Amino acid sequence: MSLLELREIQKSFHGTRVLSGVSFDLRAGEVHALVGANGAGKSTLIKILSGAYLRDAGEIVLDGRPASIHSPHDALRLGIGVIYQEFNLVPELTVAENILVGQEPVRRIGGLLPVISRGAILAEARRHLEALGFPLRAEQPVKSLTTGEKQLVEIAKALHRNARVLVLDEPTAALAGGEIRRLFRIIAQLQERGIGIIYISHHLGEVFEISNRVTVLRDGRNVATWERGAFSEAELVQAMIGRKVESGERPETTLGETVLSAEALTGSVFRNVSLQVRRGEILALTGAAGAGQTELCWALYGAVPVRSGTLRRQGKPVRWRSLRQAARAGILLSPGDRKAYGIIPQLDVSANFTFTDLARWSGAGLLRRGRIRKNAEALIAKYGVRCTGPEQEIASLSGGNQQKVVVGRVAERNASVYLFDEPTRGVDIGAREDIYALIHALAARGAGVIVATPDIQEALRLGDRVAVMRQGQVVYEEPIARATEPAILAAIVGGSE
Amino acid sequence: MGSGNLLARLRPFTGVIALVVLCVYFGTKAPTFVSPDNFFNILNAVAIIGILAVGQTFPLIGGGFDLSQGAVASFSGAVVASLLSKHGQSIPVAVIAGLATGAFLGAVNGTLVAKVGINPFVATLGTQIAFFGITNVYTDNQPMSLGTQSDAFRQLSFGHIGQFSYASLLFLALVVLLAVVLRLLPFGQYVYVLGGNEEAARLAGIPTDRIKITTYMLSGLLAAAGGLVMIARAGQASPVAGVGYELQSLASCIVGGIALGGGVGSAWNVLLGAVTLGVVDVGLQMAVNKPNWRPVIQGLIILLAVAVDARARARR
Repeated sequence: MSLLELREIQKSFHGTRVLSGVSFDLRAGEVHALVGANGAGKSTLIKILSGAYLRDAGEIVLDGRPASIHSPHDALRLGIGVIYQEFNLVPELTVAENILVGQEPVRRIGGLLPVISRGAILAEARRHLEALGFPLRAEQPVKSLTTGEKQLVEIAKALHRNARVLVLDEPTAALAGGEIRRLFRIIAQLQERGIGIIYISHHLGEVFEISNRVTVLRDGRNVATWERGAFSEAELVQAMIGRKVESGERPETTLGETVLSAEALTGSVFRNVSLQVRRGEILALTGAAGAGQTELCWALYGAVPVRSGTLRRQGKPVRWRSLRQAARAGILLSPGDRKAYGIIPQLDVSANFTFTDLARWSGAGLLRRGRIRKNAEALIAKYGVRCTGPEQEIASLSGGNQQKVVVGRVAERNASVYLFDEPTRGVDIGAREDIYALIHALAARGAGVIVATPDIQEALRLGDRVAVMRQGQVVYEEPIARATEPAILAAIVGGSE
Repeated sequence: MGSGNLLARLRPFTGVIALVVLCVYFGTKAPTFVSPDNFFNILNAVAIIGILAVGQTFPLIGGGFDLSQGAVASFSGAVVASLLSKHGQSIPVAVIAGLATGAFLGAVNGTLVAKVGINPFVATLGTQIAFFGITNVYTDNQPMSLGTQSDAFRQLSFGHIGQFSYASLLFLALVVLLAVVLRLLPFGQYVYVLGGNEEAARLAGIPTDRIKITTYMLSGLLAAAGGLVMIARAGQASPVAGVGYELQSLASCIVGGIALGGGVGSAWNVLLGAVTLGVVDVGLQMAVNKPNWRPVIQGLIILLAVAVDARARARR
């Protein structure tokens, strides 16, 4: 019997149908992967399950009984725990306090005045963590944890509320290799305890590795549900995007002069970094989350200060005193964390495509609304952004589609150096190929490109050279012909581990 | 589905519907309420706060707000009065000096917020207190007359074209100008971008500090413009005349549908909000003979407007 059943769930936003009768079921102790392209409806389905959205029609059945979920509180009470990519933790509090937040053991002084007992919180959290076998210290402040550890705190918190259904939304997106292995071991342990896990991921390798079943959504409908071993990767991909993916051939490119180089560049997170990129070349920068790739990109773009070292553009030393300077000198950055740095959530798709370059879209001091709109329509088609039109608020798009707008906005501007920080974060396979093609085209046009990505496959796929950062330093750099996956992995993890 | 769609479609017109309902209600209570005369009366009554609200819109969409507007209006008004009466300056010179004063005080606010990094609430609350203090020092706590040019200057409030007073025409013209700035100028778009995601704007190389300071300068400039109408209407510059104006201008924006937090809002919202508060104010005066209750009802309407807006946003 199923632990959880979603039956014929429907949902529309502003008259646009996002889910047209999606069904999904979960057995106790299984990992059921939910996959689909950007905008297929995965997030919406999960938000309905978690009570963040209300469904228009359909039924949610838990343990054979209809469940009424009208708020996140209802979902928690019914034992549905959702671990989003962005954590809901209080950084200043300890692991124990975060796990027991809202459930603190209370002691009453004189039988009346309730006080929270710190000792009891700590003891309860320790007991809980030990029972789960999580390698966390209850008294440690959450802000000092790694991303993977914070994720475990979230999971422990959900389980302390007796979650029996655990939804993991892109859980490995920000994890380093070792942390991914640990997460998989923990998932296996949770399965043994009878917890059902809904696993959302764009990494099909993971889906193959850990899931018992896979359900594919496309355009808000069920396309297929397969048992483990009943499908091939090609079938899965085709089901997701409705066509075969062709990995585009890289256009012929000739390397030109060195367009940007760093010598012994040191900032707050990275140290002693030397690298260069030539015209027509793609340098792939990989490493664990937080190894310094993002900060390095920001520094090359002038968004964070450089303490020492030399930055040269076309051989001439430069020092960015403002962000505009770098942009004027032809260096552009596509930021990785799109929510924090990429999009203006309240504005529409059209404005999000153009706001960095308004001078180009105005004449005689006035914005040319008609041309901006036409341009947005063209870009929506060019980058395959799934939306109702240029006037749709960007916040209502799926994450991957937002990402296409951010990357497209940068790629549309003319520059000699493009810095892409995690350009395919949250992007589905089909769209990922489109973004690869776009990056290839920029290089073919004679630009130097640096792509920072935590995904080794992506680094190998895109780069003419691959560099690895660990703890703020470049510890590995090879041309693509000599770069191998094991060597890169070893460089990411470091010799000591 | 059907009723949901209808409600969703009507949502943009909630404000207008509420306004019509209010007018009908007051019309049944006081028959003269719905009349051309009263329409012009209301428009004239909201002109000063409306002009301030046009200014308030810039920092508000930009993600902040300006609590010093009332003090800026008072001080700028005092400057104009003193130039006219004590220094014998011509009206154009006095007006330009008054507006420049407002813009300068706005620049002080903007610099405190953008460069020094003080939270807009604290920064403009601090300057509000200080600017009122400066006004008291400057006027020695005495109302200041407008001198020999008083009658000419007071035309600003009492002159009219047809039934439209100059003050109400100025307000309407500024609303149109606001629409143009927000919709058609790159600066307007940048204000939305700033209020929507300042970090994204900064990272994209947009000069966020400069834009932010400009929003506060415009707020100060329009507060001074409101101050000019204020002294023209009163026939003197009283140091306490502008007390509380900033809250009324904020209330106009919010009732009209501009959210605190930035990134959203339009000139239409300002017009709607100012007129709604004017209708309530005048309507209560005419229909309800209990002056002490008026602020209570006004407060409730502000809360209701914000609550409806918040619910509409939360329900997806």
